[in-house]
Amino acid sequence: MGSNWLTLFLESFPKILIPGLTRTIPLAAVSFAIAMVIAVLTAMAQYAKIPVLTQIIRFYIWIFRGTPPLVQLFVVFYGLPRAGILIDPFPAAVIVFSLNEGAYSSEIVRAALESVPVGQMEAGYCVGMTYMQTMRRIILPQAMRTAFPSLSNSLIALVKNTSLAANITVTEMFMTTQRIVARTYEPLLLYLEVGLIYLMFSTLLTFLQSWGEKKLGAYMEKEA
Amino acid sequence: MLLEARNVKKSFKNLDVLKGIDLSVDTGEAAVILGPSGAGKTTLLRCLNFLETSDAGELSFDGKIYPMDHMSRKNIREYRLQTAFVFQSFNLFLNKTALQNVTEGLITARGIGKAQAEETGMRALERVGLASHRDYYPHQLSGGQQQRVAIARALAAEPKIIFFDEPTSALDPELTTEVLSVMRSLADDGMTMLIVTHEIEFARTVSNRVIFMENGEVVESGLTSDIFSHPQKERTAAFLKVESKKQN
Ligand SMILES: Nc1ncnc2c1ncn2[C@@H]1O[C@H](COP(=O)(O)OP(=O)(O)OP(=O)(O)O)[C@@H](O)[C@H]1O
Ligand SMILES: [Mg+2]
Repeated sequence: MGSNWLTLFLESFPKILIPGLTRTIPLAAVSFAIAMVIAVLTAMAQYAKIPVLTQIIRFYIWIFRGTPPLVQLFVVFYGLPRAGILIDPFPAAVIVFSLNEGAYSSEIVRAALESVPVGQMEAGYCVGMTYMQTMRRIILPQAMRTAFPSLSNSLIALVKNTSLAANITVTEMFMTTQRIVARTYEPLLLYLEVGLIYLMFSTLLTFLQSWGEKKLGAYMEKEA
Repeated sequence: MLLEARNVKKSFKNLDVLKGIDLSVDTGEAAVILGPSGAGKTTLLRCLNFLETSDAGELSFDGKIYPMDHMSRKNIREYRLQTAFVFQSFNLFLNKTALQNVTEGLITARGIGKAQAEETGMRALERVGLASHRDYYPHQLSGGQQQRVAIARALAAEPKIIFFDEPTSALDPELTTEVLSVMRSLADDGMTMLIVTHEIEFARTVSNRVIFMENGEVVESGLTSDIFSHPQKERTAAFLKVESKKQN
């Protein structure tokens, strides 16, 4: 029995890890990158209080934060075909996770922008810089430093949440594990095993986070 | 006159903070604005650099006339490239070193090359005695040092005038001295400055012109020697008397 478990563990480990590296990680990475672009742009628009656009962004954030990501996945993958829009599983998952993560991160970045003292923008003006120059060179870098720990946590959460994509037939780590379970009837071992791999990913990201914080932190040691 | 503002008005909601200020500063002059707390000194300085939009007023600067209540973005920028501002709370760029604080405006706003900007920046830091601190971040500097970097940042762009809003009131007395001595040497070099301050002794010994404000109005203005030796208004005399006592 014991040796059977060990054999199964060792055999299935690469079978689960590989979709982790080829599906789970890319899904999280691509979604997160797009989410960051969405977050920064929408946060800047809200910070600048651009009329109409701000309301549209508030609406977007309201929808995506107020509904479960699983429901969002189902709407996009199973629902949209009814409206004639067919999207493959992987891109459908990317769309949902980008928009969902973008909505949460937008609020994080906006709060970080607002935490930068107003004097920073005024000082930029007084040395002759424009709003956008000061935003790009002074305000945004400080805000991103402030937002970095929260955004890192979101990324870790996103890596774990990609398991939801199993529900729309993306053959990522969790889906792959389910298939092996169906063949071997060893749910306890295999689900613990996939959990272990998620834990490895999260731990690695946590290390990267503290390394990044140190690197970015040089100018803010006191405030931190 | 380098700078001449006429009838500057500003109110917040229904509070009239500036009730029609007239003021002028000549090239090479160090002018100080004195007045009790709440007089509107900060507001006036902010209006003069368009950090606040005035409700009325006309500004003539270096031969050009600007309408203070409806400035185009282009005009504001053109004007700001010729002026500098030193804040009470320093407002150094927190993500930049001392040298980067000084060069940022030169490089980003004025398109000066990095090497040349750094040369200019180092000269400005030397001027305030902080060349050795070029790579320090603001949080690694004392308040007095931060304010001196802020002055170097103002100087680096070779502005026609520098506005100072109570540059020493956030500082301990011993740090105040080092900042005031830098400002004194700027005045000696003929830098044009408009300074809001509560440092009466500094005003008396360094400035050429005094503007005394109260309740959003200029009570009295004139040459420093005249104002200090025989103020025309009772309010001015009383203020100077009380403030001078406070400092001794
Ligand atoms: N943004 C603002 N909104 C509302 N009221 C303001 C604002 N800024 C200034 N005031 C008010 O305007 C008046 C003048 O303020 P100001 O800061 O210009 O005075 P000050 O002469 O600089 O005083 P101090 O010597 O204390 O710095 C005060 O009553 C203040 O409360
Ligand atoms: Mg003030």
